Amino acid sequence: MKISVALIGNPNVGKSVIFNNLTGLKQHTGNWPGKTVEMKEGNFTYKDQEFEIIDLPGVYSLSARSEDEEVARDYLIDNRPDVVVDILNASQLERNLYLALLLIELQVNLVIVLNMYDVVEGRGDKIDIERLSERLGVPIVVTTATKKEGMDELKEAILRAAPNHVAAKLAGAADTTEEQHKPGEDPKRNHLHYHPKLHHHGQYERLRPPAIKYSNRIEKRLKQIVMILDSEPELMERFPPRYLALRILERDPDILSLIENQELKDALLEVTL
Amino acid sequence: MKVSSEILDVEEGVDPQIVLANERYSIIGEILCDVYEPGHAKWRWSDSLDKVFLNRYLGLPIFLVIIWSMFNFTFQASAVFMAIIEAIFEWIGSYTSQIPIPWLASLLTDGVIGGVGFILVFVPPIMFMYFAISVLEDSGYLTRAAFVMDRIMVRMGLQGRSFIPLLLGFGCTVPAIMAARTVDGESNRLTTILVSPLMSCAARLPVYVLIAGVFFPDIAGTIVFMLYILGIVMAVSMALVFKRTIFKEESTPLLMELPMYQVPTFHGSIIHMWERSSIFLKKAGTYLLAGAIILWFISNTGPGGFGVPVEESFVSILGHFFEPIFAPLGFNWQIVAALIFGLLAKEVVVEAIGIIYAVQGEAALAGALAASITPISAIALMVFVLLYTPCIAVIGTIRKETGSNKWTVFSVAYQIVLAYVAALVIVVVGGLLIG
Repeated sequence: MKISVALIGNPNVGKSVIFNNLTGLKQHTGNWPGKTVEMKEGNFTYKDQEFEIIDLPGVYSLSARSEDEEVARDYLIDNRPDVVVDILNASQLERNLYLALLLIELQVNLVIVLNMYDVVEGRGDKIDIERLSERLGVPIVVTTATKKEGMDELKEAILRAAPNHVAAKLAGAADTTEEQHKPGEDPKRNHLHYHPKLHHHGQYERLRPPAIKYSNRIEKRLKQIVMILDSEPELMERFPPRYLALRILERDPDILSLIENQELKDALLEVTL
Repeated sequence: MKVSSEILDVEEGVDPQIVLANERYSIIGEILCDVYEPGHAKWRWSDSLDKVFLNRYLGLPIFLVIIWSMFNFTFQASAVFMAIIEAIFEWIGSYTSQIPIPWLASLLTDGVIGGVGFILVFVPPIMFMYFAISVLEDSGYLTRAAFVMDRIMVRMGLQGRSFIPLLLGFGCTVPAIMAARTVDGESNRLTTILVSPLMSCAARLPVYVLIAGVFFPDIAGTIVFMLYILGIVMAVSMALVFKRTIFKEESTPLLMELPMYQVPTFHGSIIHMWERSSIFLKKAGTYLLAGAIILWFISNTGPGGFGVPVEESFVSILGHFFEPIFAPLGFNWQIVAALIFGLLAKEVVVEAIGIIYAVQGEAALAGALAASITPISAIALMVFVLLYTPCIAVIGTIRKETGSNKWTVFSVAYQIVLAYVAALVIVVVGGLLIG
């Protein structure tokens, strides 16, 4: 069984260069089902472990306002890749970290890459990588993709970040749950969903507690929302709860349209900032 | 960005998305304070350049000065090369005209050399302009130009992102129309597609160089600069008109990556220049050559058969048929015919003018042109060429990208009307000013 990896990052951070460095010639390009957005997939092997890697479109956020963002967000939610690699332009940390925070909200298994590190060094800036990794609760790899620097370290970090249950399966447990689908394969199910039963690990994924907490005021609202949602196990199964609560707090129309129970919806909308 | 706490204290009516975004940025700011220690090198330099180039008041004037310098450079640097190429073709022509078979001599001298050879004279300005654009692009300035224009366009209620496809339109309209795919919202995209052809593409440059060179040799660079600016102004105003009348949709703010300023490498700029110029050369060797032969043939053929004087040829009949429409603009039948063939591609305008006058037996084209239209009509002609439908490839691309015959026809029709009206305004206003 392969470990599935998704590459994501802002536009122009060298994402494609890293993708090419990792996969070499073992890649192919297609289109996302029903979308004009390009999709690149590839494979690589590291320490006898096979990885399948997908290059998500370059985005600044995951608000699904453009087709690119929609594709990236749906892929992360629907397919729950084993490891998500967020590539940052190390010389533009402030803006690039925004997407990283959104991915932390999604509670994915994240690896952060600080690419274009030569620019940072050339400029004489100093980044305390260890401290940054600690603050974000995410392993960080430093690369200069154009010079192919840091690629082995990145592969190692991806391998380490792969969740335990995947590792267990690699150890020999048979994969029994073949019933899985990806967005677009089944038009009736082409929607935002996070359904462990359809999820290709065949079990509930254990979500890591988020390292980044917002202000008390916001966290309190999130707890309130999660408590209200507790009576709706179906929704809670679909999305990581913290992510779900944040989107409801933000009044995300896609998520709100999934809530059919009007009473519940009203109760949720009463929680305001 | 340490705004979150204050904003959170504001009670109702705050967009929760903005509150959360602020919260995220304040966390990022706090983490960066903890882990990040800025050095003191290139970006400082780059940032201080941006303080000037992106300045609210200086940004636009600087943009205009840079573009103006670019056109002047293009003209001054290319003049010598144009003269050399012209001399070479004149020299070849002096041999081909000696060929004892009259029709072959005429085909080669008037058709091929008068048409394609004439077009090739304009390769130097095109190459130098591409060189200048590559330098601006590689230095990182062009993105800033888009940023400066974006600010103006957003203030007018337009989608700023449209300006990036429009910038591509300086090279060629076809990729500009295709790049409109990146514009958010269907109506914003359609607006961009409809106004892209108004940006002056490289194929129109030969027409400006020819006409401005004949009529305004001392200020040719400035004239061409003003035509390009007119193209931008027209594109923005038409976008505004479409926005107010046909489409009504909100604009989203543009998030743009500003790369660090770099000293462009000579090597890189030369490669860019060559890539783009070679497309033009290829076109000259194929379509324009075929066009020249056909044009030469129908300039020599009329209802009376082959070898009639140009006044009795099909080209003349076509030109004379439409001449009354263009009479108010002061265009003669030769120019009218050239403009009609120009619907195929803008280079053909120059090619057709070259061939018709050559077949007519005019040795010095400059003198012949100067004698046939007034300077004001010459300006009107350049404006007309700037604004009317660029070429057949653009029409095809618009059809493909909009998937609608209605919009395609609309696009062609509105541009011809706009070009005619603008040219007429110039003739009338110019006439009043002088007369």
